[in-house]
Amino acid sequence: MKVFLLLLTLFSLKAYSYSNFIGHGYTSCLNCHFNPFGGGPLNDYGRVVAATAIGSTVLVSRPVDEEKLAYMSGFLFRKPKQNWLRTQLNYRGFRVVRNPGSSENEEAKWINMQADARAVLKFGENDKFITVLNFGYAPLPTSVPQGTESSEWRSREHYVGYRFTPKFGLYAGLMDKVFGIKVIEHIAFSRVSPQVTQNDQTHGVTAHYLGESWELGAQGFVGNLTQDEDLRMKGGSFTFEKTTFGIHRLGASVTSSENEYLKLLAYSVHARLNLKEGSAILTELGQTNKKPENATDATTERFGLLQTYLRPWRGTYFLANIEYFNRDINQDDYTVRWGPGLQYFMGQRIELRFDLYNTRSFALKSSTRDSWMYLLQTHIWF
Amino acid sequence: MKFFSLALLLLASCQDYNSNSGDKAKFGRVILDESDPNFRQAYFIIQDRCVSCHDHKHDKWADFKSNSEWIAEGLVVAGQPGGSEFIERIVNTGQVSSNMPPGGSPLPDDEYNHLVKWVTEIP
Repeated sequence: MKVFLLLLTLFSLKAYSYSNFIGHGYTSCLNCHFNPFGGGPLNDYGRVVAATAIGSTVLVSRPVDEEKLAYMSGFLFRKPKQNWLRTQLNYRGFRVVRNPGSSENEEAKWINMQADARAVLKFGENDKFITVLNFGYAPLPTSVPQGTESSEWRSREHYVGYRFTPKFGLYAGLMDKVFGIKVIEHIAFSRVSPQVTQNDQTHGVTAHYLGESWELGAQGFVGNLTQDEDLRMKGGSFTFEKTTFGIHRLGASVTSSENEYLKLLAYSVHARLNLKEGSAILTELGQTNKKPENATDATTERFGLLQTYLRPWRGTYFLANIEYFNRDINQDDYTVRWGPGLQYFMGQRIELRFDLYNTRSFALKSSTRDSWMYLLQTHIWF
Repeated sequence: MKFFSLALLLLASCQDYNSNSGDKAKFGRVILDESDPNFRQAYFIIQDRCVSCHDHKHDKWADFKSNSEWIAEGLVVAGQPGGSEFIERIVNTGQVSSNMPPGGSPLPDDEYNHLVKWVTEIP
């Protein structure tokens, strides 16, 4: 009972796993993730949230015992026997179908997107010192030259962190860049254009400050050190979020970096709106200025994102996604991608998701045909 | 020490692809065949519009730095844009549902017209 009361107390804190969990009233990533900007392994509290607040109870025997669900949220359904090591297995895969229904062009395949083993060493009061390792399978991107021999294993994260106070922490190692809303759709224009996709982690140092009603991150980075030196993007990122009207968050981000071939400056503003009862709206608007070394002029891309998450009941979220992308703001052509989706947390550790995407590009006097694609995604973690 | 060595070995052999892996091919300085005055501009239009796919998964168009390489690949027939697969497959021609780029917008008229001019005037 004491544990359950403790959990209830923890619930009064604000936390979220996905950015849209602001709809549950949670604002900062730090309470659910070891990484203060989200992603990577969940901490004990994050596991309990996933088990008792996010996941459906359809697989649970009646009457539902939330305390038991919380106890079972640990690795392999067990309560950890020690306090210094946490492990997690994480798998995400999906079936993607392009041009569904077309006898000529339908293309379907299953992609094992991510299969990670994660370990966290943590010491001190409130886990003030952490070491995070996140290693696993990653498919070769389609842009990899044919015939290239390359590993399909990837270190997604390896970093150490120290929180000098509960409000302030420093992290050093391979981490995601700090920028904008971290939506899980790595093909989102708001992630691709500023180069903050699922493979764009960088070695660097990140500072995180958690204020009463605001939060900021500043990061200096030197690129991914496993990459050739001429390709490493070196620079910095800054992001800021402030709570407004007590429940919503407005934010802004900027990142500047360069390698021997490209200079990049990206900036965006975003909002995460809490519609309550788990429902939320995420929106981001930004631009990326790219100046190639071999060109005299820079190109500025513009991107927009609008996502709604409506939660009719526990475990289920109806999605709507609209994206905009203009690859050169001095040209008239632009691309719009939109579609509905369904996110279903069948229980703790199981997320099923369906997304339908329609993509169409428009020029001044013409447009392409509609391009359709859907994804059936499975996400499991232990 | 064994753990440290193993960790280093794993990291050294890791996949390192990211958004910048193609930057050298896409943005690096290139030495082009200057004998055809139309080629340089055509080359950079192709870099801008095509190589995000055609320098990686399918082929190596960023390496085609002279007219003779395009002709040798059978993609271009000198003086015959209508008989050149490269020109015929551009979505601006609108003849085949699988024209390039798939699902993408047509090239701006000035870029498309330059590519046709390039092929037409190959010496």
